[in-house]
Amino acid sequence: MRSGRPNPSDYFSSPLEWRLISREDAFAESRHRPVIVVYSNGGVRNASWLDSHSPFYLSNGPYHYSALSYFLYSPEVPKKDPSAGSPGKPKPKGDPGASDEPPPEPVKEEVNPYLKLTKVDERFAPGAETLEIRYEIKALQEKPVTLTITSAHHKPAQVLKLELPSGDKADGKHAFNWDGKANAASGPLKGLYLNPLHAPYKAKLSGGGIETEEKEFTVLYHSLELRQGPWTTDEKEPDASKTKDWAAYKLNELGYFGGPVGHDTKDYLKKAIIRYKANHRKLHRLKYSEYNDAITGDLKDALKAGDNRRDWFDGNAVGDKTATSILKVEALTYEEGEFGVTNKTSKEKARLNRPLIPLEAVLFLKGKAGGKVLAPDGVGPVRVNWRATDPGEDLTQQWPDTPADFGFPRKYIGKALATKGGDPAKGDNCHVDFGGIRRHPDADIGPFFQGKSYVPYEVAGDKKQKLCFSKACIDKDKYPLRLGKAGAFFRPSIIAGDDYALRAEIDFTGLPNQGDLEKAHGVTDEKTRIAADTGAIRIRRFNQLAVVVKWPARTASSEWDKIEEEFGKAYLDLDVKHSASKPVTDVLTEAQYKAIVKGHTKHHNPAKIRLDPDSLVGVDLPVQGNLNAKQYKKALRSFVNDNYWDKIYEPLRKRLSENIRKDFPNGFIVIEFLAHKPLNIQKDPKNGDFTVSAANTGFVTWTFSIGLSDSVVFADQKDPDKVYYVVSHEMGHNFWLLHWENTGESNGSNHDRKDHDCVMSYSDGTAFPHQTPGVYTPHFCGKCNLKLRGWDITHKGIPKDSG
Amino acid sequence: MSLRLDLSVENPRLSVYEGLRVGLALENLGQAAQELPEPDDESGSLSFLIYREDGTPFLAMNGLTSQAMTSTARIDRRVAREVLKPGGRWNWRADLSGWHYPLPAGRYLVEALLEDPAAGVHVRSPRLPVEAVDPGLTGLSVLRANPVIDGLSFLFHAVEGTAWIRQCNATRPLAAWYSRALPFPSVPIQVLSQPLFFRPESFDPFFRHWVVGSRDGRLEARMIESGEPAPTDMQATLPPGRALLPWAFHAFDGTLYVALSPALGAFEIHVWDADGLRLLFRHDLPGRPAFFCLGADENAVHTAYEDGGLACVSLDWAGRILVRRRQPLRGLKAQWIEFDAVDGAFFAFFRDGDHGKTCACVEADLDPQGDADAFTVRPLDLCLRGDVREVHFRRDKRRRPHVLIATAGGRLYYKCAAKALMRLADGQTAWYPRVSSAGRTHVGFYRKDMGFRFREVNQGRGRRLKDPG
Repeated sequence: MRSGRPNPSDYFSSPLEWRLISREDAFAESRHRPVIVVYSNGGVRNASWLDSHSPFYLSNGPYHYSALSYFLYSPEVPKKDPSAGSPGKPKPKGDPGASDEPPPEPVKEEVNPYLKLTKVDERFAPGAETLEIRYEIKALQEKPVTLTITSAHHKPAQVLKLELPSGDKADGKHAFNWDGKANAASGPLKGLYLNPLHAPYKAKLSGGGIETEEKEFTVLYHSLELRQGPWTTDEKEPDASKTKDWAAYKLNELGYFGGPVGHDTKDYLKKAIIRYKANHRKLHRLKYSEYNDAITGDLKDALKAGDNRRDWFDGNAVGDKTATSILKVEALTYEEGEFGVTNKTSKEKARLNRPLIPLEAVLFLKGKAGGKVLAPDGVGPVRVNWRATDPGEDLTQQWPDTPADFGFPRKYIGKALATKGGDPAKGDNCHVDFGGIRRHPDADIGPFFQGKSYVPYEVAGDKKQKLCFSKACIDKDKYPLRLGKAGAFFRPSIIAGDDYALRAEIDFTGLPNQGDLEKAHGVTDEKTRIAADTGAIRIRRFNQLAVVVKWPARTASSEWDKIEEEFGKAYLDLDVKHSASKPVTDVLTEAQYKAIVKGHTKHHNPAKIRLDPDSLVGVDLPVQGNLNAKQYKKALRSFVNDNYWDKIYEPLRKRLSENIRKDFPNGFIVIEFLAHKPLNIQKDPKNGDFTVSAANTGFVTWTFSIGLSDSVVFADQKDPDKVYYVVSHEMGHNFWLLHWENTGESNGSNHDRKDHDCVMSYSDGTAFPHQTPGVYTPHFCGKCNLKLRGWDITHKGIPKDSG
Repeated sequence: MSLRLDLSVENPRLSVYEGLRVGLALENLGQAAQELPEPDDESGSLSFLIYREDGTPFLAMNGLTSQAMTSTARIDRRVAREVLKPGGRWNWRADLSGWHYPLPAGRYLVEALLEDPAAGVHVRSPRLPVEAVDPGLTGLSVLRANPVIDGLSFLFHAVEGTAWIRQCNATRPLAAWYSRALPFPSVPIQVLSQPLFFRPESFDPFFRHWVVGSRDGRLEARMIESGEPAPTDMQATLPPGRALLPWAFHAFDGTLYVALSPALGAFEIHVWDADGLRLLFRHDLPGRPAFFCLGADENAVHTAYEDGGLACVSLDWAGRILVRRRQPLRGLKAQWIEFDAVDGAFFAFFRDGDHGKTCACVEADLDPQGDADAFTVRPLDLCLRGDVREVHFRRDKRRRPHVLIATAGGRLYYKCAAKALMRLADGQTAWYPRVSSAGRTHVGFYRKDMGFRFREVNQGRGRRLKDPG
């Protein structure tokens, strides 16, 4: 047996030279000297060594050829015989350099025709390997000898009929190597390579009235591998003249879920364009209503430049089932006029695209040696199932319940996850009723986009198996790069914390030879199908702290790490490490401040208004006069809070948004302010008591902190509560969270009614000592946690409390 | 704990318009100094507990209710403490109208309770009897002004000839700065003078009022500060054939300006200072309307009246016409016009007749911003059976109108923008409705035995009107 591929340089001392000769001349030449013939057979290049007795295969090489043409190697004396003694090896023909004499004429003998199929490879990978067919032949050189391959699972059964070339009919033992391409007149394999779906196959030779016995061989799937697929069939960026396709492609590349390229659906492109604009410093608009999905020149420029690329998916889990991948979805904040009157879930659904990840399963065949062989020609249109499972949530990542403080986030979340059939073992992602996509197990066919949106694959649902499937591409001419692969768009929910483990599996369901195929592939049930699994893919929301405005700088810690941790429990990643820090005078001009104060308060004299870098109130405070300390503080509260701060915070927010969004189009703007400069307040000057108590030394009025539209938070530094709690509370408002206890509001349906340790409550030690101002150390209650993730927690079916 | 808390009541018999005024004395009877909530403390350490006559709890008020009912700022629960030496004693007074609503008519017991769990303090005063009575309400004069901060001042007139003055923050008018009987006799026409200035150098101008009245052919103007008599007052003879109109104004230097009626459809502005009463100008309104309204600011005197719609004229202080504007309202008659000095606007209610169904709220801005129209006309679809007897409305920050309407059938309704009418109360012939939308929106009205109180309009879910505290 040969081992490895023969190298012509092993046989010839001079460089190879080729010349074109006719078929007849090639075989005539071979009687006198060794030749290598390169020829075309069914479109595949073959090269054979020819001598008078032993034609053999050399290789599928990069030889230039034209169909039906034969090329002859210039004759030369071989320098050695590396395979002397082996059957089928060329034998040196003497020293051609020493003699130009023609070889002697062969002696003709009378021999009975003989044809025997001695061996056929057990299997091969068509298109990548060749099927070796060994046979012995005698006295049939002058007669047609035909190789026939049939399949019981193909109509017509005959998938190949091939007349052996003359060189393969010389007396002796031969090994004919066939590349696997069928030439069936009709049927699924017409014009294609053999594939496993019609296996097993049988080969036989016939000629001169002799028919050999049939020998069976097969083609088998080996495995499949999952990978992130390309956005386009040719893996190239669409031409920019196809504006929408190009924009969708670029948006996908940049992490904005631009949707199926060329097959826009479900407003993918529109939403992606708007989200992109909203996040781009040049394209950002202060009013959401001003956005549209026009593909403007500015947008094109930005896309072309690759601005604002998002690290949206690491993809590790796709190829490694032990890895976990994070799929990032933007965490939106409310827009102007939406707080308290709009439903977070419906707003987010209207604005956010569900993520879209193109997945491809690359199918491998089992090679001759048993290993996996990439043989896209031989894959065939096999069905690949797309199956998603929902790993149970690890609740130990949540804050532990603290019964002493009536905090039950873990208990509530566990209860909510178990609602509507949620089960850690069977799936506990957010149910469709609550804004997610999980349905009843009997009706859930998985988070895959059905239809033809992911060209060239067509994804269909299989309600019986509760999954989706697509077939491997076989259209080599149209989609050469997709050949032998199956694909689907993975389209999970936008709900943070939802997770998925995906599986692609080869499924023979519905094929007439399903049983045979399953048996051949060792499939006994769904679990033993040839499959590839991903690791866990988890949705996380993201947002960021953009700018901290110092008005003045906070002397204590801003506790950003704690704030990050609070939101992290809701699978909301708040990037607090890349923010800018600016004094108020960097983001607001004196003239702008004066205009705001003049326009919204009674302070109409600009000469008496100033932008003070150390205090929000930019006018002189009324003196204490005849008021005692209590009256003065009360009057100050009205002056500073009700008549100044309360009047300007919204126009101030707008102005700061306008100024800051030019450079920081997205993320939180947190203004840490002091209402006014410290005062020493006398006890009762009207009655001669000018003493200043400790509480009234360096007194600064505490006004209020507030979370406003456009992710703006004003945080009063005099707030006696813990900083992380105050700022998380206000950011919670930005994320549509409503108040809970001690706030004078009735938002019970938005909170775990049994939880008295929620960030969205005010501090108040009256009912619960742990809620004492300055002591209260709350976390988001279970319902707030879920709302931050994207759950619609006001749905009637959601648990009211953790009890 | 060796502490003694004594309570005294300054006005054990009071009206429903009045705040309970108490005196407190806290004495350290022990041998050690104690750190205690100081008299200025605004937290919940010191509470006043009101019991019904039978001893059942009725109401509790403390610094927290005071904060909640006077400001929109966050409630500060921190306790301000001070050391009271052995044998030491603190004395202080409190007007409980700043802590909660005035008491409804009835007999009660009041008790003070000082609690500071952190310091182990829990001391009660003796319970003292008090009685609140409703003298009825025959007239209400309201002034909104912002000389330093935005305030609402009320003069409640009762049948028996007495009056009470109350001053609140317009932004949060639930509790008051003070609420007490006017320290001089009430007269049939008695108005609070509107300050013409904004001078925030101190808070004193906010608490200072001129009360201007007319009796027996004489004019009298009395200054009060925080509801208590100030040394300044003025008397003048009413010019012949003149009557005091219910508008008066004063400058920062104390100069008073009063409006007198020389004839139907005309008014005179007189300056009144130490040199006496002098005519500044007279203005005759076109068509001599019997029904008009005046307002003023530093630069002008403004008047609004019905003239086939709403007409507004601004005059300088010499009586020269500066601006004249008119909003036609075909077929509608003015039922109510009011000037709001802080908003710088007239508010008017028009309808097509006593039993008509077509109504409109009209706002006339004296200094419209940008391209805004001076007039805003808001048709109202009331669908009411009864005749409209009283009406009051204001607009909030988002310029949505909040309207209170009282019908001849004795019902009081609230309506906001396009939302449906909501019945607030019934069973009275007069409600004296009042809307304040300086910050959050509050609606106020008189209720027999309850007095006059505001409640916050809940813009969210839940009960429409909110009671704090």
